[in-house]
Amino acid sequence: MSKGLLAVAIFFAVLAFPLIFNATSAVTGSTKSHPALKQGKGEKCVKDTDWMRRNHMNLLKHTRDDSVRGGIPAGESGLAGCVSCHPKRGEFCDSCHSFVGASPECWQCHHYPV
Amino acid sequence: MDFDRRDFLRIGAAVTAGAAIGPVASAMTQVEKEGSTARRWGMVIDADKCSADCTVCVDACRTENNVPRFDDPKLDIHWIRKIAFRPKGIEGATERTFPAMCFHCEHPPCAHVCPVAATFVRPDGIVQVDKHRCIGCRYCVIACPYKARSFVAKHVEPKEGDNPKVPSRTHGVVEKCTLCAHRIDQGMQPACVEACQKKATGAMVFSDLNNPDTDASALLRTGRARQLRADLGCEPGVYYMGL
Repeated sequence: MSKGLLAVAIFFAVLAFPLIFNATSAVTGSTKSHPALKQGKGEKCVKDTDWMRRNHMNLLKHTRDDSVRGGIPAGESGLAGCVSCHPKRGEFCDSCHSFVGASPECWQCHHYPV
Repeated sequence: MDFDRRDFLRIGAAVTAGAAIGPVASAMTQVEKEGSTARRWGMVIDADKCSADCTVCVDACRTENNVPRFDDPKLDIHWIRKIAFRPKGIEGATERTFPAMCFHCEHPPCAHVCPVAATFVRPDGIVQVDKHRCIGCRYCVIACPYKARSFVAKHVEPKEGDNPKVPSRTHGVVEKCTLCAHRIDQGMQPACVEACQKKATGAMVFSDLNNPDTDASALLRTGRARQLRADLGCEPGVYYMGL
């Protein structure tokens, strides 16, 4: 019986190891930092940086549908708006996308200087 | 109060329908503000003025819309092409040509057959392909009676010197003349019409067909202009004179 209890205790200790390790170690989260992006032209972006980091793809898709299907120009919230402040794709889109391993298909057709 | 299953369903359906229709209705008014339904963009082409050896409109289209040349008739993409014909029953008639592109029909069979709603009609009558949605099934290529559509069978990388306002294309989508919608939205004429009027004989006239004061409307009133294969009932927006 005590052997069985010991086995269960070891099992849960192993199971909880990552939690305990993270709670007690000094380093939390990823040790790799975000790639530093070059400051774009102009005062500020159409939305704040944190929002854009998470949601820029939804914004681009939304303006894309409005402009392609509705004839409403995307303006500064579209892909061309990105280019006007961040002229090089390699220093802007690609730096994060290659960091997180995302490969959107925008550049198969759209123009964005590398 | 007698609240039975049928009442519950009825009220539930009404609430759901209201929630679904509300946002759609507000989106529609926004669209109507931008691309007006009052306009109907169209073209009148005078085949009498079109000379057989002139390809100004085709070249202008290729430059404006980055249409590639594959030099292979199986792969080639045509947004606008010159059609040669010899009038029947007229002694000594010489071969004549006219340009043909997408006619931007009022009842486009291509949009009707598209299974993913990639082809659609803009409020101002321009038939567009949303290449983001196109799955390349080619139903529309078969449905179009005017052979206006081409399938992109080969990936074309965007390159230096392309017009950045018009995207390139990737393998597996269908495309066609957009009536240079990006230029129309900025108040300009389609590239082919502008080139024809500036560099050639001005056989092509483009304007709003719903506005009686425009050049194209004046030409339509002469009674000489007619649609190609009007019997099909597609109501093309491009009219021809002298055919």
